[in-house]
Amino acid sequence: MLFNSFDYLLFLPLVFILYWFVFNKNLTLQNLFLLIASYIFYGWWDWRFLLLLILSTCIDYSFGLVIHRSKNHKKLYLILSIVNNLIILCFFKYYNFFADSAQTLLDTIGFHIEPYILKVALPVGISFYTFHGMSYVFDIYRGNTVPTKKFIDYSVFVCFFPLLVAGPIERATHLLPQVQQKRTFSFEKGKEGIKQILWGLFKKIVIADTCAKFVNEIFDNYHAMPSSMLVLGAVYFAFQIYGDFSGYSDIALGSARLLGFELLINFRYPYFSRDIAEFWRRWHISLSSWFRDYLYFPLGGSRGTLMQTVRNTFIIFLVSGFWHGANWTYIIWGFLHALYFMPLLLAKKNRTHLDTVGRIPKVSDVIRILVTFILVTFAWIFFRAPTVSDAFEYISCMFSFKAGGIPVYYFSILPFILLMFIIDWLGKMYDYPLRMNHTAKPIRYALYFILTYSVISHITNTPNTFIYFQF
Amino acid sequence: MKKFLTHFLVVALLIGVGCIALSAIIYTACAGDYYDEYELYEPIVKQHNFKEDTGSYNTLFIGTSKTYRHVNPLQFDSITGTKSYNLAYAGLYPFRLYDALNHIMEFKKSDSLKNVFIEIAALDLIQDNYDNDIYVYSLDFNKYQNAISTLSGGNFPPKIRAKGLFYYNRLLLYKYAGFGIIKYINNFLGMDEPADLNEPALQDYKKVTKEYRGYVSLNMQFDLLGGKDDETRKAFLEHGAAMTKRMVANYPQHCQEAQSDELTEYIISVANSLKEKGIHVYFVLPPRKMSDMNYLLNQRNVLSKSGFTVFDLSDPAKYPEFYKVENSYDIAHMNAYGAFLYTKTFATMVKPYLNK
Repeated sequence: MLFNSFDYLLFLPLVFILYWFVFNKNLTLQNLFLLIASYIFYGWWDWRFLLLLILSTCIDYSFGLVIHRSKNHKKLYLILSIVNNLIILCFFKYYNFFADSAQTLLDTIGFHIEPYILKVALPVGISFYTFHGMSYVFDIYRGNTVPTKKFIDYSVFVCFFPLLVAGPIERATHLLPQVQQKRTFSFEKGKEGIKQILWGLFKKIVIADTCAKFVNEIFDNYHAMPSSMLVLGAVYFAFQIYGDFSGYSDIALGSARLLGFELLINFRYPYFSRDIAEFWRRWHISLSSWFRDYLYFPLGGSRGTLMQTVRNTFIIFLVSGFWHGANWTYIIWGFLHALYFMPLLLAKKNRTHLDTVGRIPKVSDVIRILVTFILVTFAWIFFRAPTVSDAFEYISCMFSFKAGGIPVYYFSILPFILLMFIIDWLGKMYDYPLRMNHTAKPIRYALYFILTYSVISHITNTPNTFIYFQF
Repeated sequence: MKKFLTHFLVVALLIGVGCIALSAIIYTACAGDYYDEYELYEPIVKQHNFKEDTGSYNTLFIGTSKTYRHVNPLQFDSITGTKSYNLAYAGLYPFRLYDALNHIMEFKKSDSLKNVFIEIAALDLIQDNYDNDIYVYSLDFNKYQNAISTLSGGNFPPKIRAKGLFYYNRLLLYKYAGFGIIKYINNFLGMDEPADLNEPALQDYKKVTKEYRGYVSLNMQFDLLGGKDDETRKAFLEHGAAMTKRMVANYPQHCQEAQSDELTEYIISVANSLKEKGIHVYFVLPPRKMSDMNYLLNQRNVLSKSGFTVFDLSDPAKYPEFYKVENSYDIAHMNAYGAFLYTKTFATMVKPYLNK
């Protein structure tokens, strides 16, 4: 079920009413109801993958208990659990990639093989729920949390529908206690939830989906396009992916708030970052912090020699790229970000900008923001292009300075991008910008109206899926 | 919780009313004839060509793509000795049918037009082709009222009536709540993206329509589009035999019913007034109609009983060549060779009846 579909428009209020009015007396019943609702939400795509989700949940739940009880074999059980998650992930997500790559490699040294190609669709959200499971067993192993004995509670932690298919990637230490304690409805929380959903829908339906149309046209026909169009295509993709993914996260956080949960913040105005290090503290925060805690730190983090730190940094960026998809384009995208990061790391300036840029920025900050945006946008070309050679050709066409105009309709989205930019800028000290409750009421309500009307005016018959569902 | 729900509902209601008011202002302030012309330039070009040379035609075809893609006026004339024009449109919406008929009503007794063929298939399209931008934006209160009174007053089967009423009401709500209005606004501001309507280039299309008097077979269209298959065609290339078999099997064996409805009555009244002007109206039921066949056969019976000549070429048992996969372009249409066979059979059949 898509957040931006008519189905979800019916599903969420129905769940909300039953959750607060029918199942609110008993916590176990309420959690069971949430679990069933989450299974329905997930099974809406393909109920067969629901079995995989349940299987994965059962295995991690059991390993959590075993690791906690074990005296001498904790590490062995942890490894088994991680291997199990990686097998599931690799089989569905990376098998074809490895088979193709092996075939290419063997072809180059003179051996020809015909590998078996898996003809199975990628289960939606597999990268997210396997990471949930892994963080759970890691935290138990480290003693950061104790396993829950209630299977339903653990299942809600993994399968909670707002975060099931595209995050945020939650931690047991953060979400599980909320599942285990009685929730009470709060007027303010409910109001904030609705506002955040509205903001997410605006970013997804108005910004991301409109940009997507232009981006698809440009990336599909880049050979024939003038250079100016190719630059515009890359910039629009930067807005598309931001609107798409942060819009998804806002709808997820807003929906969870309506049900009394607070999820991890996933985006903090990443395009206002003054360097790449700041960008990664603001973009897909739950994934970056996951890799930091469960990969970067265990590898030694920045505690070793400079060379070890450089190695560890490259590893997490490359793995992060590979996590996004079984394609070399994502790996190069990760590699580019690692390269961007290096000067900051070597100059020990990767933690310079820990605050948020001021409301009236300095000229130097504006320049830094622009440079960071250009670097990020350039790397997005690899992320968006279907193959590495397409990405390089796109870039070479972009720098060929081929003359030509841009059709006027490509600019129809600009007023909305500007509106998003202004709202984001004014509200950047909050977790999402519509939290500006100190603004005069008429202005706030006028803004809600403008956003609602913008969303309605951009609705089409068929809702577009979210980019991160493929990961 | 009660406070939250009340607050939410009040705000949602106010925003909803605001959306309707703003949409009404936009539709009034940005009124243009773009969407009244149904956006597609195919019908506009055809109407223009026909109007340019109206005086010279004595026979006219009105209908959906089943007529547009299958009746070649040049071939038809070579058999019947008439001079005809194909004014049928792809995806004929009910309002277009009204427009086409109103246009014919303007003809005078002294004009050259003697024969009009109206495709019965057009009558059932009141339920189809409803949910697209073209249709939404061309809907106004007059058209809405017209459609609602037709549906509620006519003798439609309950399912069709319920479906139609639901669609039209939803359409009105969809339009005035502002759904998809950005396309309309962009169009008004001259910033609309070129619609992906699968239409050939305008100049090519003008040339071909003029040369073939409004007839463009799907093979010609395919060439004009640079060899691009649409989804319907792709599906047919893959499963054509099975799809055709199913369509033939679904063709009703008998239909004795003859219950009229308001739309049919309206068409009958148009036909009668044309008769008074010396123009003969004939009805045609073409092959490869995929839905509501019972309804169409019922209309055929009504029109026959009302004294009109109806040419029924829809029965796959009588006309198997119109259903052969090798004569087909996609599931709903024949290819150029199928159209050749169809025009030949059709022209030979109608020749004795023609008013010259």
